[in-house]
Amino acid sequence: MSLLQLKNIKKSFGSNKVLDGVSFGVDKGDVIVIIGPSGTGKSTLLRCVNMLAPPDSGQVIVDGTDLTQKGVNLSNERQKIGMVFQHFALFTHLRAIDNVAIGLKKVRNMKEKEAHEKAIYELERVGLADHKDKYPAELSGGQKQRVGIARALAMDPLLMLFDEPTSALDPELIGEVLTVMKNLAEEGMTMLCVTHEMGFAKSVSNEIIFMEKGNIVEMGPPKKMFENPENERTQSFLHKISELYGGE
Amino acid sequence: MNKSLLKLGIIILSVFLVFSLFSCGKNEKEVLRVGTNAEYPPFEFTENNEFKGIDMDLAKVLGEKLNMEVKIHDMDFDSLIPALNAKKIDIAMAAMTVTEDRKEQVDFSIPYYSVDQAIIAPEDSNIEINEEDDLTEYTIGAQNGTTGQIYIDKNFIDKDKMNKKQLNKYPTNIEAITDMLNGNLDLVIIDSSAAKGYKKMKPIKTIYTIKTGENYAIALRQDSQLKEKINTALKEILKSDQWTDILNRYIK
Amino acid sequence: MIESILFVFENMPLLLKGALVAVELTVLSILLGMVVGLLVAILRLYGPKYVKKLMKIYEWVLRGLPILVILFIIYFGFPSLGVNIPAFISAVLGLGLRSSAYQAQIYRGAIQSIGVEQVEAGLSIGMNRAKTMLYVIVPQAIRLSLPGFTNEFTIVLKDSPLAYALGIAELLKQGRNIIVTSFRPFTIYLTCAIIYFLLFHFFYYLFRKIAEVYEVPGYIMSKKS
Repeated sequence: MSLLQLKNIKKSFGSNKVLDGVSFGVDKGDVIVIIGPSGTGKSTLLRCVNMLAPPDSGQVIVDGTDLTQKGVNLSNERQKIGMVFQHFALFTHLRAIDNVAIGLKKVRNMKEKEAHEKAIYELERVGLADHKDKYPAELSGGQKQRVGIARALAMDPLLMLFDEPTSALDPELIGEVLTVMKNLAEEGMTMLCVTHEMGFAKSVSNEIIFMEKGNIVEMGPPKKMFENPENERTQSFLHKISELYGGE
Repeated sequence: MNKSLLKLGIIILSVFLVFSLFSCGKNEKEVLRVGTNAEYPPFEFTENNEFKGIDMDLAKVLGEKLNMEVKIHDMDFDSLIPALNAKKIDIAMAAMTVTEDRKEQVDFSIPYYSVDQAIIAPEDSNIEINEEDDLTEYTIGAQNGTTGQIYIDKNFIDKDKMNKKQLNKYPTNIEAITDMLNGNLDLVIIDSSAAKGYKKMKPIKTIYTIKTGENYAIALRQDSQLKEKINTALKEILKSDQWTDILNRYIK
Repeated sequence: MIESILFVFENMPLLLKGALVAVELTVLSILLGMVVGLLVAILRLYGPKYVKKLMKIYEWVLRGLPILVILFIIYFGFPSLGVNIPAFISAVLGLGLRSSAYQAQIYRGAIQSIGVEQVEAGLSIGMNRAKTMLYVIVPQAIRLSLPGFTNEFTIVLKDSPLAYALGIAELLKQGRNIIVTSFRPFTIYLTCAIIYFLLFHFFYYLFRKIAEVYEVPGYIMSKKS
């Protein structure tokens, strides 16, 4: 059984149809990269998965539970789904360690000491244990994003969502975040990433989904997608992207 | 300053504040809530946070006669009648003159003191008033809501003998007299009894008296159950030596 | 001159007693205003549509009335509805509710300036809306609203003498009582002014210190000018 199953997800904002019946599954250990032009509903799709933006219709089944059903305790279910935000969304009033520990303390009701121990462990995973006492404003963009990853990891999620995690970063800071993501993938974390980093997509993912105008145009293993995509639009998008980002 | 110390401080402060709210004593006797405006010597004023004056001493004696515990509520003079009707106080003792207007809103006891209206001027003033209409030449100050102010309004301003600007209204007589002594006013209209009291403190003189023969009385709510009892007690007190003593204490 | 100083000194205990009442009145009113104001701000931002509208009217009415009118309605008006509230509590209610309308604005502005992503981040790690509000939004909003709050505190402090109209013996009323028998308005009013001034700056300094203690990089709360 898939870890995540999306069935015919539809979502509109007013008269603007953002998602028009998206379906796919994610198995445990999958690293799936979603690509596509901006404004095609990639970020919205991720927000449907953890119900930050509940879909108008369709099903979101995570670990056997349909999150769109009434009576589902979303707070419990969301702990299974870590999310990393484009603009980090760190809690600006908390030090790095407390950013990571706050969920453990306030959601898991862990003791301060225990929560901090786990937080330090998660910060070590992203290579930031030395910066645990810094406030977000004192960290670089790359460091902020790594804290964001550690915060999501602290809740021991089954699945991690990455919403363009590097697109707000200066080019020289992108590498450190991608490295962390790559390590996570190697540890076997199930990941669903929206990104324009084609290098990452090629080398780390096992499946690429190309979306346009609220629909999945084409999906498949990276080798096939990059080397001989079936769809014309996939071709032209990848071509444009490689020009823009200087892909290999 | 560290956070825990600050938190402790805030907690102590809040506890203290909450306690200060509920730190009221309990009483055995029935309470008589007496409203006044303690800014009107020699009838009511404070000295070292104690209420003094003719009305205040009379209230004490009245409380003894009625076997009630007197509690003074000090407020604006203008607030007394609303406070009576809002049941914030049981009676008002504030050198209050019985008038027809006030009778529409409250009831009065039998009168206990009679006064006229005094026109006062600074001691070195050479203004002369020979008849009432001479007042129209001058600017006059008065405490808002008092008989003096109402008198000027009714007899001069409403009849167009005086310009509205010639009457300045103040929260209390003190401001009126101070403003006069500062040279901003020519005269102040004030109860004759109060004029006597202020003369001891300030360089003022009474230059004219308007014979109004007004009566001070205790104001009560129109549905008050106290009226009979208060009138009976008041009659007894007015005949007694206690009353003469009170008057001698404040007015010679 | 020396005589005046002695005179002031003699009357200081009464004035300080009045000053304490002024501080009690101000602190309790501000606390009431804070609780109600935060609630109003949150309801106006996140409540159902009609509640939002209701909160808007609440702010609008209370901000549009002179404080004396509010005090008189509570103290003299409510008894005709069968609600008789003692003077001190009436004053706290009046000053506090009026302040809540202003504080609601301060908090609403602060909450609005905190991005939606902060809420999303809170929800994404499994906090419910209430916890997100309490542990993520409110702590940031308080920091952002401290300058406005300090300002509001001093406004309430400066309005506290109006409680005199309900017969509360705060500083100004104590001063007036002294003036009645001493007839020295200038000396006493000047002394009152100095006490208010000192109180004002004491609290101003206190809030700046609090701001410094809770200051976090990225927020400028304590203006060091």
